[in-house]
Amino acid sequence: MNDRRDSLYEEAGRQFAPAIARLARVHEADADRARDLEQEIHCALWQSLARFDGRCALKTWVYRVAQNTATDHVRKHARAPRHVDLDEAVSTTIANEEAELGEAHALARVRVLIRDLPPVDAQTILLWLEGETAASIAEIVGSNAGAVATRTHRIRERLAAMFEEPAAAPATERA
Amino acid sequence: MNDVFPRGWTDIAGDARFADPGQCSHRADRLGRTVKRRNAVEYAAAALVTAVFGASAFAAAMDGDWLSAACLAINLPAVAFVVWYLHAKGGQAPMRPEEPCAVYLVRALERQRELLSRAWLWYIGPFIPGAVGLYGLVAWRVAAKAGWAVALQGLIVPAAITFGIFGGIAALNLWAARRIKFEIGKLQDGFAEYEENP
Repeated sequence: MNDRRDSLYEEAGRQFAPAIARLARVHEADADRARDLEQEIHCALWQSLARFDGRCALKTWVYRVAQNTATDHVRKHARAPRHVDLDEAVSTTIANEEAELGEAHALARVRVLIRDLPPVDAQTILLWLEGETAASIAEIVGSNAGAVATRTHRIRERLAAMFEEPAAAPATERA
Repeated sequence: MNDVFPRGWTDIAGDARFADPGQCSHRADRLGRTVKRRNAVEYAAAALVTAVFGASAFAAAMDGDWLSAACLAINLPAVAFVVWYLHAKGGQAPMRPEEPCAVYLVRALERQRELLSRAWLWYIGPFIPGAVGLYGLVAWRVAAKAGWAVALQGLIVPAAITFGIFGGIAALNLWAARRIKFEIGKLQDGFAEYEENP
């Protein structure tokens, strides 16, 4: 049983460790807190994999555990609604290297984008950013693909308006 | 992609690795120790209350004051019930983060709300008969000697403090439960809107 869990965990790590790191960094601007949340997700996943029965794909399982653990973490620490400006958000993650600065800006921007969204909307858009299809997102959040596709489009339009930038080109739709 | 979202999103943290299972095992052990410590504090508090009420009831019984002894002793099963309830309900239905996100969030909040909204019943309620009995008995005895006016005058402040604390705890729990209910409602409305009017 433990061997199976460890091998599933290893497999999940190979495929999803970066996605989980990004999720943690979006929810926690502070680097230490982000690392702690990342490890919290890893451990929640490791424990949950003892129950993995193959009724859903490993990817669905991993994303559900990651999103739920992150949402729980944010709710428990009550830091979700803290409103920050983009500049402030960038400066909390800022680094000297140009590449790191770009990364910090990207993370900060997503952080600002999802800060006021209801949890399911935030989960949807973060999964979309990871390149997941509407069907896959629907399975993870517990909805239907049609709703997810429409919702994703609407959130992106709303967010585009928020930043006064044009919405995404439909050609890149993955739904 | 002409989008509000950053390009190269999936390039970020490309070198991230999962924590070693040993670290998770260590973390789980640490959590287990925290839970054990919390349980030990609960048991110590319960033991202290049991010792105080038990010793007082025993002393009253030794003096032949069976009514006082009964009013004090009635708190002993109340303590046992509260400890049992905390463990039975507090530890029930372990959370399953692998559930679909919409289900998991509501279930987690619902579990908390239920425990808090009934706190007046399981946390305060069991101690009410003992407190009412004790105050009633003292009042009745003082009234027999000095009249009801003196009895009530003497008891009004301690009784107000006792029942004020009970009421305060109940009110705080109900307030917290109402906040969680509001949060659940918002989540459910948001999800219903997501489903029906995406």
